[in-house]
Amino acid sequence: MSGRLIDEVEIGELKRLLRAGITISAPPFQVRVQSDNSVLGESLKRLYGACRIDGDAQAADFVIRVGATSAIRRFVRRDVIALIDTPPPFTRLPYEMAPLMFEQALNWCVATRTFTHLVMHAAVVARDGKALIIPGESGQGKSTLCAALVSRGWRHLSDEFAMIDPETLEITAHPRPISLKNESLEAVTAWGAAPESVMEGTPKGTVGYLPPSMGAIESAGQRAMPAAILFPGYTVDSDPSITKMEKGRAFIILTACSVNYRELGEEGSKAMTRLVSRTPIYRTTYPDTASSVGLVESLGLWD
Amino acid sequence: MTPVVGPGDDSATISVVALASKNALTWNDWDDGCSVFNRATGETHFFDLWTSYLLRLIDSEPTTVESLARRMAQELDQQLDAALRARVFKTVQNFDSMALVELCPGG
Amino acid sequence: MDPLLRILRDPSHMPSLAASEWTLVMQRARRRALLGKLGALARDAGCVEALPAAVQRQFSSMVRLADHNGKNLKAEAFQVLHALADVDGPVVFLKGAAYALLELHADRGRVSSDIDILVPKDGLEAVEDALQHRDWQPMKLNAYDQEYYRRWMHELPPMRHRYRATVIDVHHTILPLTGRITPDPKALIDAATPVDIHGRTGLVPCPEDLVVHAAAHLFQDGDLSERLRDLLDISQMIGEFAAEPGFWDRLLERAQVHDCGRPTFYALHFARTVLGTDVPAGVLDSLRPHPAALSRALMSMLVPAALVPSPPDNATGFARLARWLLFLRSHWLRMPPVMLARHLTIKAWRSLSQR
Repeated sequence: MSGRLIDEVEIGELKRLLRAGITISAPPFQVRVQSDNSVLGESLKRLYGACRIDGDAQAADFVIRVGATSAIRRFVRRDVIALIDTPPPFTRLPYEMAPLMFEQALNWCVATRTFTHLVMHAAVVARDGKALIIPGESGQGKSTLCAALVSRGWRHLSDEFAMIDPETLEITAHPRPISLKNESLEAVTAWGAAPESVMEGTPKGTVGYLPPSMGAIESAGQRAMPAAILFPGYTVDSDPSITKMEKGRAFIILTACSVNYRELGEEGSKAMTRLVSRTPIYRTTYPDTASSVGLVESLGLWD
Repeated sequence: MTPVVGPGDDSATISVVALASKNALTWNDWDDGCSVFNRATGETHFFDLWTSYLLRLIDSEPTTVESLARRMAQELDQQLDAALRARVFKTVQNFDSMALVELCPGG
Repeated sequence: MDPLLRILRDPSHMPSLAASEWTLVMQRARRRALLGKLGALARDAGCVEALPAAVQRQFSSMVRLADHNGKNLKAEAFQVLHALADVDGPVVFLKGAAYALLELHADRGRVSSDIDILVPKDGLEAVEDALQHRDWQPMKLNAYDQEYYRRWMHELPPMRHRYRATVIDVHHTILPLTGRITPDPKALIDAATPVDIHGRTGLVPCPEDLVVHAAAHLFQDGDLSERLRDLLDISQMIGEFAAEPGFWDRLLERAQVHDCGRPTFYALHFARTVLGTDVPAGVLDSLRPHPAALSRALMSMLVPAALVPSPPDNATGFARLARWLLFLRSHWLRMPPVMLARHLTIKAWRSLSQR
């Protein structure tokens, strides 16, 4: 890997470079970001510290500019919007929520421009090269479970998208800051995790992030085969339970969770069919994170 | 515009034909139903066992609603009554709206 | 030379672009639906492996999307034929749908979701009804636009499918009824050729009509702004069809039949000068009506600047001027002066009152 670690770039210099534009290696992508938003500069240092930047030497998959919506908004009622080369469907946010805007923008790019893989809304972690897929839309608990397992030493592949090779079903890692909201933020502090760039009053409530570790970034080039799919089921005051899900039902739900299923046509259908037939699929119920981890470990698929 | 097959038509006289060529459908069986990919439309459908059995009958050869109802009653050990006929007819109309089959009047 | 044009003219030049140049080229290409085409050209030229990793990834994704898109267009065409099964009269698939159904070179790397069909004018109502019966819904237009479309345009207001979100444009002629050129839709339908669509039969224009229609669409109907992709379609069709003996003679004939000598001239002229396409000089000279020297000179100045996609938010002053002038030209070509004045006034009033 070439380029400097963001963590080793002094904050003043980072902000200066960011104003002109930097290319961040967020495996497997190169992401060019340009912004004069100071909050974003600080946030990038904390959340992408384990990633490298490479000036102009790399071609970029995506180019994201993060700035005010108009000249006056740079000074009065300051706001922020992400500009990509085609108009994306975002609404502006207050200046301080630039980190959220950037994460949304990059997620949008990955979701709408990736057709080499079947892309599903899911967190992915792995142990011994065997991956666990945790599907779900935003707010359904996948990120919390993902964060819990990662804190226990599981490998962090992604908290937002499972990128599945349609031929081999291998999953390509895309480790990004794990986004946590509201109660989850408190829950993770219970085991000593320290969320960064916490923003209150966002459209989704209070949002914070756990940065990907050096290990996660350095191992991002290794793909992993799915060993199980587990639907998160946080339910207050419930008794922990884990049961196999009917495959037909799972097929429907996973298709609905997929971002690019339709565009992939027959190839998408074949890939999904193969994934569902070969992979054990579970639904879970649990009252807290500790018991959710217990359920995963009870499967006995990872030693 | 009135559809070719209307509610007043005698369902028994309508013939039903599998729409695309025989090789357009890819079937996958699960315990709780079947998923079907239709290459001709690019659509994926999920049907319960009853519905997928009916579609398979149509896919194998052109037939009539009455004949389908009879086969379903036979295979599933059910009474061949007005309720079954109506269910078959309605399902077949749904298949038509999904461009899986084509309906035409006349036996 | 503009790096984007350089690699379109000769894809074997792609490895010579610097990594930093690629970022901007990809941005410009993506905005104007050229990224997939570049990927397909790189694949055909066998130079993908020599390109930066990000370029390989994005090319790969767009080419995969385009490959599936061709099949999805065919599937959508099948749905259209299913919906129109009980409607009498021919249904001719135009533009991108035709390219996909014919698996033309021009379809490689091409992505579009809209279907365009041409039907006889007296069949329009039946077609519209049948489509609505199968869950296509007219897109919301205000009363003025609705009336404008129905009376003067060559198509119904577009319809969007309720569940699939695909859009269909139903045409009854090739160019607006009010325009200065009136092509012959019957001639296009009569010369259309059948194509198999999963066991059903649809029609597509003959090769020469595909070229003439694309030329009319680019140079007579609508402004040229950044529509390099459309010129590339024309260039690729010419490259593929010219291999058939007699193509050029037939092309001249069809341009004549559709009264589209002028836009065809411009299409061939600019395919040659901007993209380096092989066009025999005799063909250009033979097209009638031949644009006047002054028109040709003006167009030569404005069109290349207007056609080529600019960087996002960063068009040069000249490119913007060229686009504005050609935009005026397109309206001039579409409508008689009185109507144009009324149209522009109403549009301007509406946009002002919306602020």
